Amino acid sequence: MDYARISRKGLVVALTLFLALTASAFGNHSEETAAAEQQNKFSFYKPSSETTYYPPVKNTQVRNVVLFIGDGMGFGPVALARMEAAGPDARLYMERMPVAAFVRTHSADAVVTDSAAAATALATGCKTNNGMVSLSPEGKKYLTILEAAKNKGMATGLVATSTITHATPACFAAHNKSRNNQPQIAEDLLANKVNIILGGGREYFLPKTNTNSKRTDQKDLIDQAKKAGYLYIQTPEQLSSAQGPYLLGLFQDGALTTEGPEPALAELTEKAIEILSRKKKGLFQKKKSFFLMVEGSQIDWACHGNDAANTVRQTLLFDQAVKAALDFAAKDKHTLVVVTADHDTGGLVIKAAETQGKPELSWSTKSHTALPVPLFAYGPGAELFCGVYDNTDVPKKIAKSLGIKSFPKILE
Amino acid sequence: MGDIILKADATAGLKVKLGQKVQKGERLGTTPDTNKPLICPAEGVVEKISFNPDEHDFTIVIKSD
Repeated sequence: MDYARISRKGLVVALTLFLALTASAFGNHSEETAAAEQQNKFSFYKPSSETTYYPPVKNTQVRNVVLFIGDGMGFGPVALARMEAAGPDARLYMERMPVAAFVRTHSADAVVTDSAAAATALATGCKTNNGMVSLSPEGKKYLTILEAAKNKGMATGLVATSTITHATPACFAAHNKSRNNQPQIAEDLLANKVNIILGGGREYFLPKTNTNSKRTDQKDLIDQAKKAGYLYIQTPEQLSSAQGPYLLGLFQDGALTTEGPEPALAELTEKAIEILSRKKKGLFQKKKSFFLMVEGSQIDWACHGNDAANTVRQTLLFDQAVKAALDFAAKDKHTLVVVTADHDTGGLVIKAAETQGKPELSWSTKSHTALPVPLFAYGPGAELFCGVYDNTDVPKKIAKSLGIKSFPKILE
Repeated sequence: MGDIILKADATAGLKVKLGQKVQKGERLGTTPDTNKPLICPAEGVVEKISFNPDEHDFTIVIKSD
């Protein structure tokens, strides 16, 4: 598939040359070239030719759940990405999911949440303080929806474009008083035997003697993972031939670059689904269903920088991953896909232009806001997700659709 | 005095913008992990604000006279 394989630097150089040549040949067409530049910037994204909803799936059992979290993806980035890449009347793939909702995001100790408290809510159905990872404010462990799915015999996966130990993925398979304790979170992810772990963050798995390590001890978690049965990979070529049932793919020391040649989020998502859904005898044995969480981590980072072009780019990369899951779900008919955000970042407003021309953008802040976030759902059980509700309700609805009882739950 | 480099939490909100003049004792934001106010130690101008994704905080550089 044609993902964002061309680096931004390469694209800018090629585009600059092209624009210079066309300007000298045909005179100065600044508006046209600006429009062409904008179009080219997002040429990796193929908008949906359809504006209809994905056909509803009813009355079938939910076997699999794919939960997408666009970090910082409030309504602003969704609207802007649609307008820039497809047009105001078009739809992103996530907007073709037939059920939509507004989700409240406050944490236990703040009106404006951070990603750790928000992901704790989305993972456990319980509130906590900002900065805490799936623990109560008093420090008690909350059962996560991933752990509950695993206890039910389902295969599990985590995919992110940040370090895989960053706040959002951490909250699904780790418990820690601080999101910054990424070395310990790396240990928790492996101890929890998450089947598929794909993202960045090699630096938290390497012993401190390695110059790229951010650990303060000699633990070699990659070696430990291999001994525990994980296949360890770090290149796109290795990804394409990788098999389960345990896969640890760390493609950068830190966060992913989200540029080629590293695999795009959509490719990571496709691979995770391919392995997790494989029913080959003996691969997962009893595990014929799965729970997968996919995070578009860097929408938040672009919004913190009030960088509109990168906000659009990251949202479109995320939407491509959503498309991959929707295409699978439409064929499978037993897969519930839920797309939401942990919080809004930047308070992006799209305003009418002062004069003629494109709408103007206005960022309210470089930080998070308390605005509600969108949620989209597709597949069996999607009807449960319609309405206005709290982020803690999201995993409760997932648990209900999977027939998981005793959720939410405090472990100790 | 030169550059003053400070860290501010990225969730709670910065109180200053690029190029803004700041006074000693002025609140710039919130200190990471503590929820305590981040107080400007000297008068100056905000020369740079950068977001650090791994730590999820801002680095603020203040040019002080």
